[in-house]
Amino acid sequence: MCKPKEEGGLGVREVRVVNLSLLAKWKWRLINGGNAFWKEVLVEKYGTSCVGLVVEEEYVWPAHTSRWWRDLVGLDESNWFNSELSRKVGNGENTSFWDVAWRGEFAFRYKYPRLFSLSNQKEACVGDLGVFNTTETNWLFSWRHPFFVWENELLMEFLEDLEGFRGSLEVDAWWWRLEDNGGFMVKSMYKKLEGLMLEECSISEEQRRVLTQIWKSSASAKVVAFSSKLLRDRIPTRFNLLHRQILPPESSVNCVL
Amino acid sequence: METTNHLFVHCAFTMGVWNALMRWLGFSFLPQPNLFRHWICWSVAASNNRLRKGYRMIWHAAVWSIWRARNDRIFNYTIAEVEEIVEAVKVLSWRWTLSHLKVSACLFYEWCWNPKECLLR
Repeated sequence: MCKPKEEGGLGVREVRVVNLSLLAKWKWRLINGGNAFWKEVLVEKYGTSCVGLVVEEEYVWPAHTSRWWRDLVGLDESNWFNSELSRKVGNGENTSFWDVAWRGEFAFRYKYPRLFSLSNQKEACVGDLGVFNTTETNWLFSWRHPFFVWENELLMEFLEDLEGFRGSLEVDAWWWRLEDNGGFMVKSMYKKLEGLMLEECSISEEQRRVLTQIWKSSASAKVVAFSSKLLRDRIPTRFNLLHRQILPPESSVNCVL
Repeated sequence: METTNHLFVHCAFTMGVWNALMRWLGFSFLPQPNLFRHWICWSVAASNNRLRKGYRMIWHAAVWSIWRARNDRIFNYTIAEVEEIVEAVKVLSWRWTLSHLKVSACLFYEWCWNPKECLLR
């Protein structure tokens, strides 16, 4: 039913997945720009860190925490939301240089832990460290002590990563990778989650071909429908009945033939 | 254990049915790990489209008859032999050739004797 039409389903949306996609939209609106009144309410209620959705893992929410907020915070356990975000740096004023993955896939503090530990500017934003002009960016780093030779190599690699970066006058913003224009869409979120959550989609090309072939037959319709269920292992064999707890657990699953 | 794979591919009784049907149609292949592979091998045994259509129809008749035999044993306590199932497949597929398949009608004994020729007629 919930599979796309091309895969033999009816293209009906699966309601759990729709719910998650819509919650993800809240998350997007929360982290992205704007000082809406509803965000101020949230900050009053749950603290300033809540807008960035930075929450300690074992944090115990107070009893007045709403159901909606609990769901929202616990939303992205397997990283299906964050992994589609990247940071588009403009003036660099509200993007942390070390903590946010704004250039490449990883935040610099994880990619270059050694350099991070030597930095005197662990809290700095990209805009604090970089001086942008029209042609290039000059970086004003400050380190705890002069580098050893091997650290110098790290530094070269690190500077190479920064090579080619150009700031702009725009405000920093999040970029949604699944859309060409970088804006969040419930549709693209749904598509991704559907692929992750609805396992029936994960049949091989060969199986898909066979499932199409069986319908083009001159056998009677009820028999073909049976074959279709059979190939997808949806028939009430004793094993399947036991698995679905329709037969009591001690019943025999021996083949009778 | 009565899993789908066992019931329709690996069970000795079922293998007996498949082998008899393959002898009837004049081809054979090694046991396959699952029904998808079985369907594919069954299909490529046909040398042209018309035969393939007929073979696939017989495949449907076979899995249907095997399932019926299994249900009969459990619910009606009647035990059919391999030969009876094979016969049932032949009858069922012959009836389908008459009603659905666009081939000129053949008699049941012709169908049993040389199904290939009937399908190509």
